[in-house]
Amino acid sequence: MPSLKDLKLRINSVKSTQKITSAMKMVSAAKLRRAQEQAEASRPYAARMQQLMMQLTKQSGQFDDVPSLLQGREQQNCYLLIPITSDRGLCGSFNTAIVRSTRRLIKDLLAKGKTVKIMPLGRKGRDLLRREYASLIVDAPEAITKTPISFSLIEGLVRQILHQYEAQEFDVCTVIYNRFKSVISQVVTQQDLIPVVTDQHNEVQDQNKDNSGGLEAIYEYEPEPELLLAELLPRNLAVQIYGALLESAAGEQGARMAAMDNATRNAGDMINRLTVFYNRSRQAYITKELIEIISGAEAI
Amino acid sequence: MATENALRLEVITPERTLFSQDVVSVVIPGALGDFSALPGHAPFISLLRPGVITVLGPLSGGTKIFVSGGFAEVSQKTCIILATQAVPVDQLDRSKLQQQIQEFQEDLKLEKQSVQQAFYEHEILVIQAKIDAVQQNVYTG
Repeated sequence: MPSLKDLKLRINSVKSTQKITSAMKMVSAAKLRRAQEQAEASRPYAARMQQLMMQLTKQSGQFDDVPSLLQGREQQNCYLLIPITSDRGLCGSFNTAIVRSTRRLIKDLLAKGKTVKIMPLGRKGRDLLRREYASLIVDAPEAITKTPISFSLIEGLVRQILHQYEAQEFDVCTVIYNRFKSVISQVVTQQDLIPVVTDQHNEVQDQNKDNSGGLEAIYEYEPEPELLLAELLPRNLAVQIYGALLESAAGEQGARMAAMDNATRNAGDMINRLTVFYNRSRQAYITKELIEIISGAEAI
Repeated sequence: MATENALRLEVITPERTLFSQDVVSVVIPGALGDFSALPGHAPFISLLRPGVITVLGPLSGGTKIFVSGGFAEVSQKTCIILATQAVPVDQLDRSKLQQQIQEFQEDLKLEKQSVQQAFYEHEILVIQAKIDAVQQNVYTG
């Protein structure tokens, strides 16, 4: 049985852990708000971009040659996966969920005889995936996931991705990230970036229908729609990745908040249990001493 | 001013919505030349080059915003500018820009990969356009 002093120390250590976890919860709550604001601010751009894309893709039937970013290549042999995770841990199953579904996807693709390349964004995902698939990781840019997430860094990344695409280094590009559904729930989402999936954003489309005033109008284009689309596609890629990163950042804080809330509660339970145990031991100890004194006195 | 005569101008960047107001007219640096949009403009989508948007509001005259390129979508009542970067011209600092341009030029000399070179060249162009914008602003007040 541990001595009273050991118990006291134990209780104190759990108490300080609880203080840390509850402070971390507060910090995440503040960061979550900021991350949400940033995600909110990026939405109008993404929505408009999507709208423009749809406009132009509707016309793509008339093009002589549809960009392969839109249509996809005929042979899809090599896949580039971009799992987005956080840089820091202590956020529950946030990162493991991403890694698990990435792993499943990799296995599926390898079983089909495809080549897979991984470009993890976020330190945690990189570390976890490196254990099993170190040879598949082509690049792991670090600065991208640092807050505040900067659009210009992502543009640089997209330039690299496009360069690799043009060099035929991969044919399909998929991003895997945690979509922020609510503070307590994040949904692992897979989204194809290349080729572009245009009808995936149902929400955005519905939203646009409401305020579409002049949307059905016939637009004039300058320069030709083909050229516009060629400019738009790389930018759209950057916007998609940016959006995914922002969602993931908000999700991370949400997940951490939930995890820390749990930890604080667990620590509270533990303190209660230990305190009861401590009081009982103390009482037993006092009783034992009394018995010793009394039986000593009786013996005389 | 009657609402049917107003043009809703929105300048949106990936990071935030910079400007969203009813205006009288706006001059936009299109890729093939400047054009100005007034209420009732025919539906029009244009690519932008780095340059300055000049906004004429009902109360204010000549708000200037620098855009680093992007797209403009003009319809009868709205004008939406999707810019990669947008900064009010009076927030640009000329000496800082000149320093930046020098740094990029040095980077460009050292860089061997053609992708990166193209990037630096584009970046230099954008900064040069910013400097021009500041200069013009000084002359015209």
